Amino acid sequence: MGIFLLMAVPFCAIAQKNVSILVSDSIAAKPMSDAVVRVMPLSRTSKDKGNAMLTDKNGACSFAFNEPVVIHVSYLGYLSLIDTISQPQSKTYSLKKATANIDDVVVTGQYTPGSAKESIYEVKVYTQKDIREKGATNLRETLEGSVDVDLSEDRVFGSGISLQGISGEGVKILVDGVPLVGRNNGILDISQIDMSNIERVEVIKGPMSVTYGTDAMGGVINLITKSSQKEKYDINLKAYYGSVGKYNIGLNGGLNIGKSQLFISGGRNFFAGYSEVDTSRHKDWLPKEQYYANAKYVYNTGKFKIGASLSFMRELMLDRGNLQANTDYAFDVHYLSFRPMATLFATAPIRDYSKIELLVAYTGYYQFVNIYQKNLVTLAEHIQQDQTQDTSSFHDIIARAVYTLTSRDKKISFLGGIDVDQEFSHQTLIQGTDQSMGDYAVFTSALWKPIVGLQIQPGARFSYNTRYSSPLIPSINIKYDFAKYFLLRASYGIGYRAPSLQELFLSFHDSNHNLNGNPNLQPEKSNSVNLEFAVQFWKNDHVFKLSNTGFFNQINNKIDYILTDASSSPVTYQYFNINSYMTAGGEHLAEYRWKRLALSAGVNYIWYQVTLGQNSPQRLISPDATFKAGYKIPVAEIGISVYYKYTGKKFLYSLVNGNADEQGYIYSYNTLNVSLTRNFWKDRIQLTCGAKNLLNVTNVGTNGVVPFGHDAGTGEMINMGRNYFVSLNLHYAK
Amino acid sequence: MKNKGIYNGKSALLNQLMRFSGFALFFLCMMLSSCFKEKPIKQPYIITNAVYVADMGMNYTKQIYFNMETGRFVDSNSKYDYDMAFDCGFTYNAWVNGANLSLVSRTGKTSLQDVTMADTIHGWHVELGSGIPDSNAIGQWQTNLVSNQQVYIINRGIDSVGHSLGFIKMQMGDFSTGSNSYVVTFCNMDNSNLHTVSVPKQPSKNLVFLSFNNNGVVHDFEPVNTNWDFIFTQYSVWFGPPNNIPYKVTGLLTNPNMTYAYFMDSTSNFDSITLKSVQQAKFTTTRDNVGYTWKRFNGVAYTELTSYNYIIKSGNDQYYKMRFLDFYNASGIKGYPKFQYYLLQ
Repeated sequence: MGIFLLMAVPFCAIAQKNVSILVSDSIAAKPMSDAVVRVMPLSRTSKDKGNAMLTDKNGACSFAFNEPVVIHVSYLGYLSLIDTISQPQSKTYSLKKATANIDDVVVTGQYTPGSAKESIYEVKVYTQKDIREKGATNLRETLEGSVDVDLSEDRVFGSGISLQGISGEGVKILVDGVPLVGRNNGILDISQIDMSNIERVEVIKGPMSVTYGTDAMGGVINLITKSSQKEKYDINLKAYYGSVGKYNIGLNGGLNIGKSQLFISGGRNFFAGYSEVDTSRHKDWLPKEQYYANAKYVYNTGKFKIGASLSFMRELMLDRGNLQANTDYAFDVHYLSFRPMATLFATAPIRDYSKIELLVAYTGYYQFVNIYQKNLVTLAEHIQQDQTQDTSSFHDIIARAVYTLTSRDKKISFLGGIDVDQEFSHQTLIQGTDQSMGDYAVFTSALWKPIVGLQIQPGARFSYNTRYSSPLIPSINIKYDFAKYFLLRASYGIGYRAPSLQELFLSFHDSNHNLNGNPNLQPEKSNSVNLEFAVQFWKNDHVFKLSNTGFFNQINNKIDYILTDASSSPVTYQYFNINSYMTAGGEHLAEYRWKRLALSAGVNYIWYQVTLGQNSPQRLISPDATFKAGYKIPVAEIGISVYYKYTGKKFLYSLVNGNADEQGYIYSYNTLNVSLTRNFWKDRIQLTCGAKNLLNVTNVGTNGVVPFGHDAGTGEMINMGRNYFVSLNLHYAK
Repeated sequence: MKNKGIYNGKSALLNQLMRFSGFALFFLCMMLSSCFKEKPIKQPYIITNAVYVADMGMNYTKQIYFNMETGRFVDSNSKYDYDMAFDCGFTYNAWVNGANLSLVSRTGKTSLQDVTMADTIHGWHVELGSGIPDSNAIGQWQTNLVSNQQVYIINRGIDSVGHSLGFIKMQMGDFSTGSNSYVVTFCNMDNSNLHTVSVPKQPSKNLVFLSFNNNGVVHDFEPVNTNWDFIFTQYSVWFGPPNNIPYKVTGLLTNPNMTYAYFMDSTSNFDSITLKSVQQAKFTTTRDNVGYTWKRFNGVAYTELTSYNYIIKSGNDQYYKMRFLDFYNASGIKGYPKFQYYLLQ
């Protein structure tokens, strides 16, 4: 690369009377395009801001030398440089990464987008780089191996997530702030969420009830789609192969024409299904085929922004049966799902220090469950005419307006908003089939910065629910940066969640499930406290960060399954309110970065106390630990990433109506993933390959009484066996 | 790394094309090597000897009578064609239609006009497929053929999609020895459509049937009781303690006049079962000893337990071994029990 830089210089030196500038990255030694070079005459007046220009794709620019000038070179995320030029010459500037600001830009819950470090919330960001290094194509794979995220797997309902010991409906999943709908048994299948158009994923633990609705008790996962690019056009062609039978292809592109930006993406993900002992048509991990398409248009003048997006996902999942005895046919279940989404959004400034943001969105989810009889000799199949076929649809319309006002000295900001959310559902599994629920809210918060480094943000939300009376929800967040290296965050919030339509009216019965809703459910109410103390210091290229977080959640009337009939097959569960559900825990995460090396290690533990009725409380604890290492080999320029996670013995509380509670547990296990990345052809080809689940942990045994959603027989489905993947990305931008 | 990005002329173009083609090949492989298609299997061996299929129709509408000696389906009728059945022999039991999940509430009252739905507080009785008179839904309605005049509320059951077939008030009159007939009075719950129908016993039959439709219609669709061994029908059971609910199942009930059966085991090789395998003590008068136990519902479809061996004892002391092979027809519609049996000699 050094040779390339040397060769590039003569191209820039167009004439002796010119000043030629070349800007490169100090570590990668690569030319940096679109770096801002501001040229100011030494003799300038105070109002003269000079001229600015951008470096080209070779990191170069030039200007005619007329008089001595001051040069200011800047690039987002890098330390700026200032130099004085007194004669025509060629200069090369190497920009260092702004190591003090290693966090990425976040938007979730922010008055204005800022870095994760600046955010008053503790935000964990998964960037495109993280997604790529993990070889992740969907949200499940992106979050896999994280110390503070618990994933679960149900053959039919898909992949669920738990934050701070709160799972199911208590974790809200958003795309650009718009909540996704379509949960089966409280699980929103996060393996259905493709990452192709996602720029980053922001995870905020703890309740964000004031801003994102009262049901986000455990936390919020906000997927941010790409909304700006510097290049005129940007095309990515992606292909992924996984040895467990995954074949993914995708195309996404962006077009930047002045103030208009257009992004489109589409692709197909295919998974052939997987069983540890693969001897029949029946698969433990169901085969699936996904098609997705996204389009987004943004018109951005710098201040005023308006846009629209459309997205669509289709998934067909097959549960193939085995050959019926003494016949030539089998029965297959086809799960066909659609996820449409449409969004209109606008941001408009009102004077200099205030703005209004508007959002109108529709999200939907359709699922058709059909049983087919398939002749395995002729391969002819036809739908079971006399079988009850299941059709479900969920529709959610939201409208949100948020007004933000910042004082001229930026010490006080105010935010006020209204939120309208109307949900409709049609389910043959739900008694009464058609149901709807509305939630209308006004919310406000104020951000006060009384002294440098201190932020205090009180907030409140008042909502009206068409089925339940909901209380005023207050919250307070505090952040304090002090002594340069230290950071303290504290928050208190109240969560409130009305029972979902499924929890009220579900009636689901198949070979694996006997599940009933409960129309008499009461809403959940929670109190949550979160604390974080972080230290971050750096010297030269060394960056060290240590964060310690603690949390406490107490939920009254938590809605969960209770075993109501142990003798039925499968046993029968019904939703009930649990008197008290408490989770408390902590996470300690240490990160170290030095040039090409990045290390992190974390420990996470959650303590639960669950009290049902008059029974004595169950107390249990589950620990996790992770280690991650990344290193980019010099010369070869191969990046190596190693992910290790220890998932401790996980206790499971079991709620049995009228009987003493019993508990079981899932044994501990270890997960190890490794990946290698290498770019070729001026970064146009990005190659990633790796191995997942190197320790080959698949089903993990359970012991004792295991509750709903867990399998006592074959053990808990954790991972597919050891497998390998290769991912190719062809990237072209200009 | 040398001179990367610097290309000129044809070689640069060729180089680019080569890079693209390598990628395109990988891309193409991803597209072509992945789909849901599967290879057909070789025709599996399917038992065809001594195999019979009962056509119960979609939603198990029909009740079908089968004679093992002749190997023929003797007769059939719609399960919706009657509401009550009455003994024809030397007994005087009255039954409701378990195939429709018909239920009976014994009100304890004797005035037909005065009974309302509020009188169902004593609960509902299910007509179990076991066919044991002592535990039938209506119970003891007479003493020495004199009716106790109790009014019964009859839930006529549900149709194939679970819709109610309605409720009827019914009162048994004294048995008419002169005409050898049952006397049944019934009306709607609002006392409209009041009728009294005489239901004569039929010689050589087990049961005679009464429908509340069309002002009360008597049916005699059961074959002569020495001419059939079992009937394929829906019938009622109590499903799953502790939340016992009345439930419809589909299976085989034996002819109480001459056929008895028991479940032998699921381990013996069907071909090796001989007359020596028969254990006389295991035969009981319970009609649902074969019942619906030869299939399981796995949440998606019914799976036949082809290893379940049954022994049937028919009139004239004929013994048979029997097993079930399928429950679906060629169109994948359930309600077509396929079974195989052999006379044991």
